Amino acid sequence: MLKPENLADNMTGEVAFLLGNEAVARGLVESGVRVATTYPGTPSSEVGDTIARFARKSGIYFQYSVNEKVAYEIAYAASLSGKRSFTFMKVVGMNVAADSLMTSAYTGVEAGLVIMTADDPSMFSSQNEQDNRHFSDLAHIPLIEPSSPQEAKDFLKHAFELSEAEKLPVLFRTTTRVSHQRAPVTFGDVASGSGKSTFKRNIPQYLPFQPYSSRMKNELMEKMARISRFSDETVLNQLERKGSGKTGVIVSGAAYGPLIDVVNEHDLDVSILKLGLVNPLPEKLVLEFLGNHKEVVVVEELDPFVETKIRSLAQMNGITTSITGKLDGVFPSSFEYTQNVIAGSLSKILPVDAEHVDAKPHTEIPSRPPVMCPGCPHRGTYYAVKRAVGMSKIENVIYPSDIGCYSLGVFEPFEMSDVLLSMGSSIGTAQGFALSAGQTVISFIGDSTFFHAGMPSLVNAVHNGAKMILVILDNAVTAMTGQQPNPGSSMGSLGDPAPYARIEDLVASAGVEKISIVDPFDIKSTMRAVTEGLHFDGLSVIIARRECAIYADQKKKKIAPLVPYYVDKDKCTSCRNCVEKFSCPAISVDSGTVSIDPKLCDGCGLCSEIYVCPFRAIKSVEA
Amino acid sequence: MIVNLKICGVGGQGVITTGIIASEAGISRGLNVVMSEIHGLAQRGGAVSVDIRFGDALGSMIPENRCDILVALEPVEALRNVSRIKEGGLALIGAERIPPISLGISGKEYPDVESVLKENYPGMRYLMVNSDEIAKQAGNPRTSNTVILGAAIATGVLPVDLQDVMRALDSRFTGEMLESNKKALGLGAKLVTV
Ligand code: SF4
Ligand code: SF4
Repeated sequence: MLKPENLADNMTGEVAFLLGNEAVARGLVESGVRVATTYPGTPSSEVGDTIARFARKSGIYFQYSVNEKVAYEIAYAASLSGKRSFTFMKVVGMNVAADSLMTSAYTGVEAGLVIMTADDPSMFSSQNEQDNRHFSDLAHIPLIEPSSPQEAKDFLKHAFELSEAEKLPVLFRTTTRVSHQRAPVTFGDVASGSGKSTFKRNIPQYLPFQPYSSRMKNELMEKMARISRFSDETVLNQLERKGSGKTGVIVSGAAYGPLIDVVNEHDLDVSILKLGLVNPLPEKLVLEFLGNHKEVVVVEELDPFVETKIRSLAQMNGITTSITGKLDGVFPSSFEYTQNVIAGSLSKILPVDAEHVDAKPHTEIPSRPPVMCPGCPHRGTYYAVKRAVGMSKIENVIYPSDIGCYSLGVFEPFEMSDVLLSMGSSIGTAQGFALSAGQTVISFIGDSTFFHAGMPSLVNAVHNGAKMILVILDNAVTAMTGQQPNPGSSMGSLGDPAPYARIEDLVASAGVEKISIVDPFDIKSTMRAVTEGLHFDGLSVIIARRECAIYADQKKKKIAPLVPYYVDKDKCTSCRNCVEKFSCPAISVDSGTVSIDPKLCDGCGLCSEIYVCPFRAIKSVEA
Repeated sequence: MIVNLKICGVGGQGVITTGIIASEAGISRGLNVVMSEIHGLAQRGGAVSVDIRFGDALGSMIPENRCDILVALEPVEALRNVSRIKEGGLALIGAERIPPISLGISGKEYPDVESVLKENYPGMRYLMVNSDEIAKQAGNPRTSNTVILGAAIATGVLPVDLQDVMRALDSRFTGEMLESNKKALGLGAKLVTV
């Protein structure tokens, strides 16, 4: 097994079993990247986790930025300074970065600049499945799409070369099944980073004002026209297989693997044109392919991005080859393409007998939705807020929530999440409810999300006199994606000590007058703060501060083992409060007996509080 | 040739690590292996599974009803995934329960997994493994995954043998962890006679 810290080593020709995202990280080393930035987000997070391990050794500057826009701007400026730069993010992060991305296409770049979006068909861990390939049309920048970990590494190099040749940012798009696929990857040479590194002032080139802007737009369109010709020649676009000529398939991205499985299994007589540089389309190649086949099938996940382009190309060239895809209803426009989905769609037009399979369980199975970890501080916060609101007799409280582990508060037993849109949206929607709904509003946001997009919204709330309670769950890290540091963490991107922002100071300087800082493991004080907030006529902020349990464990385990808690059978009355209302996953009931699984218990002791166990039946093993 | 292995369990049990070890065993023998992971939203405690495909597969997901062998580190998670096993396939199930909080909240009892299996999947071959017990015998309770993996290898369904897995363990662990894992693998393998 190759350790992530060794992934930047010289090992040309060697093969390792790598996660797609690890292969991307290796790709940076082989592409001579000097600066990499990100805001962590599934399914892209492991790229950063990996770079952080070898950054120092390989001389790559790496940063977890406050949000995707800032991350992109840093990479952009590094590129203008002559350093190959890379920025990566999850699918919805592109919406945040887009503001700067759009104009950066006009100004162009100097050293290669690649922006990676990790899309999430089927929404395994994202709030929508937007198809970010459209950003390449919107910005007029090229789009490269790998279909496997090997390609994720190799195509990256092409992306940098193209970016540098045309001085244009390149969009690099993976999806969950590429980023989270493991496969054997063969290494190439380690590239040395470019030497020169200065910024040369060039106002007509970098300042998007008229008269420069019009010239920039013209240049941009010329660049894309040139790349369109390059698209016909690049190795990224290839005729993979030649059939007898009746049917051709054009495929891109993650759909490639499952498509080949189906073609092989059914021994289909098809030609396959595989697109890696998807935009601009290799028009000559596609026209030729259309001309050589009676029917052409386009296989791509999500929107008919390639299909639409092919149809219009065919129309402009008077080609009558029949084209099949999503627009004629043969393939679905939602969710990922499995072999079963592809076989099912192909069976409508080709000799594929799609067996009807029903992989639904034959029996009812207890659900296991994602839960907050044993020892998670958020459990204390939600428990206390719910109790305090219950005691206040205030009804119909609205709970806007946000993106992070605490989003899981939407599930039982708390069910305290009413709306959720995007990073930071809890505070904006809270203001809207406060002024429109005539109900009490308590919104939840994590520290990282607060820094990312919550701060402008809080300033707005104060200035406009919103009446609401804002609970900031400060667990010191970006937890949900794997405990990465954020500007409030005392460690920097590579784990070294770093200066940090103090949320209470930021909140105070925004003009918030009522601020309480509580420890969510102190249920009583947390409840008191909520009660005060409920009676306060204005905006109050509660900072619930305690480190993420996993992060704390990682530090603690080096010093002392975790000491679990247990249920004293003599004292336990089986009231089940700890199970039904508190629901730490380490606590369970079997035939009426409540017990704690010592392998799962984190030893936090929160369940032993009288507010959770009124009979004081939960005790530390050590005491 | 394609052989499909699915490993499932609860976040924190080591589903992904077990998957990597099985895959690297295949790689060390020169096979092509692809593995797909779904990480989900929770850091711990959610349902987790990986698909592993040995041989001539390019797509990393196992098509429906094509799983040759299911390794379940937890009984309820076995139930959640058995329907994906192909006709004549196998399941190796770790007997140690991790009751989901949904049971506590609803007041329902943890299902009797064996009778559910017998009733709904008659004829399916499965083995319940007291992996925690055996892991303790191996000297480290954290090797229960390796016990079940050992049993899975011993079925002969996968195109890898114990030596291949030993090599994969060698490259991942050292010292006591390596020794206990090797022992766990051997003890697991002894549970199955073909
Ligand atoms: S990762 Fe940390 S913050 Fe997230 S649920 Fe677990 S303990 Fe809580
Ligand atoms: S002490 Fe109680 S609340 Fe904390 S992890 Fe253990 S069982 Fe869960």
